[in-house]
Amino acid sequence: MKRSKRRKRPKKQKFEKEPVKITIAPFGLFAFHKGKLVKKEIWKPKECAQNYFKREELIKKFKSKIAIKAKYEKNIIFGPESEKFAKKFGIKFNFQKFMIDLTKLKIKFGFSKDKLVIQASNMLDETNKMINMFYERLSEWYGFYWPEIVERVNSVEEFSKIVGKKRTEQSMGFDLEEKDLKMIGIAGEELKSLISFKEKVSNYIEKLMSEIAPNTSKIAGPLVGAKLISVAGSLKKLAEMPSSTIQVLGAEKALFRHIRKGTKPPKYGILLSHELMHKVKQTNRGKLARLLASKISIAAKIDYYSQGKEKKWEELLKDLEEKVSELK
Amino acid sequence: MKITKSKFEGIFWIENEKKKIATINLVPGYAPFGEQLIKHKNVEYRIWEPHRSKWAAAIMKGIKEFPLKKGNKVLYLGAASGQSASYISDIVGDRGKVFCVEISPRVMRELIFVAEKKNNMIPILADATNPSEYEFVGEVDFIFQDVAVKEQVDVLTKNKKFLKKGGYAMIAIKSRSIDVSAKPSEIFKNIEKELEKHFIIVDKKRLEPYEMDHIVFLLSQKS
Ligand SMILES: C[S@@+](CC[C@H](N)C(=O)[O-])C[C@H]1O[C@@H](n2cnc3c(N)ncnc32)[C@H](O)[C@@H]1O
Repeated sequence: MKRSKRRKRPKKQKFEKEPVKITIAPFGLFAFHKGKLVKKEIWKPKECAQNYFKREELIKKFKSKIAIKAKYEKNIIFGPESEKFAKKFGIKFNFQKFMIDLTKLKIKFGFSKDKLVIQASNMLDETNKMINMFYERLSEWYGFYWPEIVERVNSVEEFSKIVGKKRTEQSMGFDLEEKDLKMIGIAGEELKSLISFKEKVSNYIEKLMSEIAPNTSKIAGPLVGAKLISVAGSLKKLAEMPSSTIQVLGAEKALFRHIRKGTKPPKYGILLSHELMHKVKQTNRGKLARLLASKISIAAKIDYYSQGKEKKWEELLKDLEEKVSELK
Repeated sequence: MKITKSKFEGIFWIENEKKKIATINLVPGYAPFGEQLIKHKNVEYRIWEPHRSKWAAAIMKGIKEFPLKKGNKVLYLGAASGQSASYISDIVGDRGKVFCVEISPRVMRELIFVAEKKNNMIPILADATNPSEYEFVGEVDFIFQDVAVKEQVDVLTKNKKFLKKGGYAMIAIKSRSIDVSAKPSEIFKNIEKELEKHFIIVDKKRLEPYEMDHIVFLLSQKS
């Protein structure tokens, strides 16, 4: 039998002892072997900053294109010196411009949604202030005409519905002209729209909170939770805060006064607005604040570290409710 | 109006009704912070307000030296929106470099607009307590630090390794960010003791009336 012709096997590539040195510059990748450039990849100026963030991936691809089998050594060039290295290869590279691009990308992708919560929460505070200002001003203004009804209404919502309307009863008020009453009515419309705006911002905060901090939102309430994030500065900061700090968050002035002048320390700050606060005796509020703060502290940690994914509020709420019932 | 050179490089006295200091504008016509620009014999000066910059306040208060030179490389820790850093940039000029480290993206946003005009300002969005984030800065001639955090001396000692032999550092300390209850003079005394372990204190100036409860130290390296 004829022996089958032995096929020529391709020569096995030798594993080189000398390592391939890969220089990672902010404008490209360069592979050197035995002192010689064997492969390079140069990026357009506009791509450099973006590529900086995916350099691991790019290096991997780059390696796969190098024909030499050897160990790799990495050499990173960064900083103003990289301009000199670029020059050697005839590349124009401006490190300052690169850092501007890089920083812009860091800012863009470093954004987190708790910043939206903070803006919305502050907007809500400001809206409340504006509503109060309108309410006070218009009570005076409209009160010239119909003081009896101003006296009777007991909420701003109710007030916004009647302000500017014609009287339907005998009044000690002055008989304002049509044009005066009209102006008051126009201001009243603004008040109405502020009230409806407040509603919308509150709903927006509630939605956002259930997205980024669902546990904090359930324990603290969405608006109080948002306010806590706002005063802490970020969800991260809230998550890292000791619960004793959360307890008095928003009472910084009283706290400083305590430290400096030895006045009584505050027992609560923002947490006074928590809905449970009005359900316990005044004397128990400090205790409740401490309890709330400890649960919120846990909730904020879960929210921050799980990026809003983990939901454990049921346990927390149950525990909280049990302890609160002991307080009453 | 009278314009005279001060004893410090790149810094001028402008005498109008009031005596003020100024630098030569590196980017003529550009005044990002609403500062006053004064043109005189074809040179444009930028007024450096001591109420808006602690270094300017230290100069107005008569600090002995301000050893910053044209062409210097500077590490600026806590650059914020780049207001003071922009004057340092004027002084070191085209050939110099100001590495602006700032942790807050919000103020860095403003600094970027300035750096886009002043090409010797290099933005670095990083934490000054972690210099490994910007090791690439290399050796510098001067460190300015104004971070207003509790561990201010720590921040400086961590960054000291960047300082060239014979280099200088200037640090602004706000007593409030260290302790709200203690007396500023006590705090400053303690800070001075701390600083003396690592540096030679060339001069120090309280910044009143420009800035309350602040002090600036000019430091040089111990050999
Ligand atoms: C008082 S401001 C600086 C003002 C600036 N030097 C000027 O005069 O234009 C302090 C700055 O330090 C920043 N900062 C605080 N901690 C920092 C840190 N660990 N690293 C970098 N910057 C920090 C703050 O974000 C703030 O912008």
